[in-house]
Amino acid sequence: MKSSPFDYHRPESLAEALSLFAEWGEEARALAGGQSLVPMLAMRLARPAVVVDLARIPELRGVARTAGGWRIGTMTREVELERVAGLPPIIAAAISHIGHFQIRTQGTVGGSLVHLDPAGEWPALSMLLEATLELASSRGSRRLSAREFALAPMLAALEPDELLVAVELPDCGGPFGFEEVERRPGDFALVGAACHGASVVAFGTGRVPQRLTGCEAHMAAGGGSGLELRKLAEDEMEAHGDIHASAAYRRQVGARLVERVVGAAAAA
Amino acid sequence: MPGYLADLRAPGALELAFVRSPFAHALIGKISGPAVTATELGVGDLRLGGHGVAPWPWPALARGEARFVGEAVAVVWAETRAEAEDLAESVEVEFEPLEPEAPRRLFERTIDAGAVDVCFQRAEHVLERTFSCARQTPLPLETRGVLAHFEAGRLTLWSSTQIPHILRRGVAQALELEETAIRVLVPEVGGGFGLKAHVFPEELVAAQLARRLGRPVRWIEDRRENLLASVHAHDNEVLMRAAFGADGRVLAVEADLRCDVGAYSVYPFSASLEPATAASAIFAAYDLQGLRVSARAVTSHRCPVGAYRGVGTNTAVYATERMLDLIAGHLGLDPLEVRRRNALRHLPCTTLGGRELDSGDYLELLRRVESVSGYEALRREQAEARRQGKLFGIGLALFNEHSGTGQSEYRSRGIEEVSGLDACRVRVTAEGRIVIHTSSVEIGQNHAPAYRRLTERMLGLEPGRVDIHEGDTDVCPPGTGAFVSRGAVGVLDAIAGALRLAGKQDLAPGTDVTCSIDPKQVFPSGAHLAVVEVDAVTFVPRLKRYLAVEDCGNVIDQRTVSEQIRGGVAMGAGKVLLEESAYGEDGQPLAATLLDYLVPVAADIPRIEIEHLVSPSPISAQGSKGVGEAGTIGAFGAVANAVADAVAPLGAELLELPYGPQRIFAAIQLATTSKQKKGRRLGG
Repeated sequence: MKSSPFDYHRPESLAEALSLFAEWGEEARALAGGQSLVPMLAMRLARPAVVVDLARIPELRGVARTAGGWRIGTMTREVELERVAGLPPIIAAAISHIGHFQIRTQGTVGGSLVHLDPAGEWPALSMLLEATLELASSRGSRRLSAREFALAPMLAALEPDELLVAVELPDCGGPFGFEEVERRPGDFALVGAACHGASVVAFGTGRVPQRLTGCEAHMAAGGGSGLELRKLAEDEMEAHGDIHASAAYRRQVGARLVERVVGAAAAA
Repeated sequence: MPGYLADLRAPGALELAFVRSPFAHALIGKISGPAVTATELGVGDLRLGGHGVAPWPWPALARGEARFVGEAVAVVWAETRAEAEDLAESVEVEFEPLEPEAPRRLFERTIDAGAVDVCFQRAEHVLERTFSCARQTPLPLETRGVLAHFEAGRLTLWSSTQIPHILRRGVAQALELEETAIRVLVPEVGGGFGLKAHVFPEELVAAQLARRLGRPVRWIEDRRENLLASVHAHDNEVLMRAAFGADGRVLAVEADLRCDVGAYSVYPFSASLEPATAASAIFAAYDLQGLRVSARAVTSHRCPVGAYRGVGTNTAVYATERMLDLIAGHLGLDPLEVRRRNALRHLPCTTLGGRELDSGDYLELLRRVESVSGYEALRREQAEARRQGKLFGIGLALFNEHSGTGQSEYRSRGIEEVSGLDACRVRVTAEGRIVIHTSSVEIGQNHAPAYRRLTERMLGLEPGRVDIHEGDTDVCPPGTGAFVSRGAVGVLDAIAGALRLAGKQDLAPGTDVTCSIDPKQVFPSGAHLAVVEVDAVTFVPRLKRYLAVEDCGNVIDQRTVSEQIRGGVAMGAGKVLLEESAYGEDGQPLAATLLDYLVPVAADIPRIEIEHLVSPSPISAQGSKGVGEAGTIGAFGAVANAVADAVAPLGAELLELPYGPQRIFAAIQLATTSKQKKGRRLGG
């Protein structure tokens, strides 16, 4: 479990990083918190020619209050975010499900978003809250919605020379529900669900976090949490099976979680 | 101490990496690249087996065919492990995938004792179930490792092993060297749990390459290799039938055990380990009038199965204890009461399975569990929790285990490669220091302080004069090593014997005496209780409370005993709730990382309460018994029963380990569907 050889760069500015990606394109991988990339390197599942470590780029870090919400730098570590005063409780709740303290000490918001694990909390949150993702390359910058960004498991809509610079979240205070099934505290969710306002998302079930539009329509029409909602969730939820849980488990238990998070968001 | 194996300084050592099979079964064609193959290596097979065990040795490198994913096919070396892995990757092997081979039967053990047929004819009730014990792995924190150096005709082999003398013998045989031409040294060992009680292909390869290349050679296993290609545990299926009366008394038991031992027979235990141990452990703490067991080892295209803390006893106790709870449920009796009615009452005795139980008080174990746990109040708490819709379960286990297996027992099982002896050499230095060398080895069980205190006590010494030196075949007397909980049995007896001999020489400087013992098995016992809550929505089970009442005879060191139990319980709980070395239909491993092979973390284990009962062994010199495995064995029964009890009100029946959320969900689904079907039938 030693990685195949690669060149290592640790640029000190965003411009420097972007020029490296412009030069190396698909052969380069960005190293954020390393919580997924490093094991993938060790198992030679990822074998980039160049690793660009983003740890020393000041403009990629930090959390700022904006007119309409929050702007979080891609290299902001989850522990740093946890300490931000006035952080909306839904973000704190989601972060509390990310691995263990040690993982959150290294793990970054952008790393999780780009890695796009189907059970990842950040992809789920970005889809739920309709986050905007800010991408940059030496050609310029552009913005994508969470939905546009999440193409497939482990596949973000990034061009080979592009970097995720920041994520913008709208104001997201107020009641919410956020639930996961973990076999051990800190594990990846077998299935998860979250609700905020009129939005419901299921994650860990399908290819990418899934907005449950049927459930959302039911709520918009004045329907509450309950058996009917559960049934809707069960019907529309994409689900896969693996050694930890069958598709039937994910659908049925996931639907119960949907019922819970919708109830929590309505009750609070 | 030199530290762990990876800490050893080895200037100029070459690092190995193995080219491993990606196929469960394949013909090996042309191998191109910088690799050494089986034919070029020139290492013989480890010869295994006396009577009863079919020879089916695990070759140092696969010859002709690869038989499981992860099997070493060729070896490469370089100055660093990373470079060696680059080389391994550059090697091209022409594999031709093959269909799986039909299972080969390597070993069979049968027991037919008492009036089985009469009991089954006479019994008011018969229950039959198939229990399965998942394939799992011992997972020591420190993986395997070896450092070999050949100089002046002599091989020095550092290994993270539990069995220095057996390793010396195996390597001598495979490399055609005299045993005296090999020195095995054991550094600090970061856990063994049975996994390191084998002689491994990689050790033979490292030793042979050191000899051929004239340079030190080192191999440190990585976690992926450890999960795929060290040894696994269990993978057993038990079809069990019990004949019992309306009072819950079990008259006779029939069991048919199928043990999937993987691709090869392991050295030194052979493929007989799981079936032989499990067979004699079925219902071993209970009074039966008839017992019929057929247990066999069969091959598959999976990692070989070897020793693990508790080995076959885990499966036997799991099936036995689950069956007793099913009997209790069938009759509407309390599980504790059913155990009380069936527990062996008059010890010492010989069980129908052939266990010569030396001492114990099983009713007292149950009484202690009842009083210390506040059993009645706990059942009331359960009733209240159930009223609130919670899935709250209480599980019990009563069991014994064999410890300190000796030579005659191994010979009778057809195992020739384990000496079964335990030995101690006592030396008195010119300065008057007492040096103790045993045939055992320190693998984290912390036995040295106990050995030191025994020495001080027996010789009437002030503290500070005794040194314990183990894990060096040049100075330690030959013996069996550290497994089957023999430290407090044969090893302690050997120490006491050697100290008596040294005492006769008045501890004169220059005294050098050795005592070797062929121990007889002694049987510690225990009664455990677990409380589990299963989340009613997610079906995730959580262990809430655990009580272990243990009886390992006279306690040599209370703290060591308690921590052995605690560690063992944590391992057993993980085995019941989480762990599975899963394979796909195609023989591909599905739990090849610790993301998928789940072991318990601190948050999964509650405080473990321990209560000691002491039934001194009349056999071992100190009246003590082994305690290394009792925690794991008890947890297999108690935790499994607690999960099953939690979901019993839903009509769900759990039979297949591990009891994770998916299995619980599926069992509840099955119960609901069959209830609906029944309802429809009645309605129609």
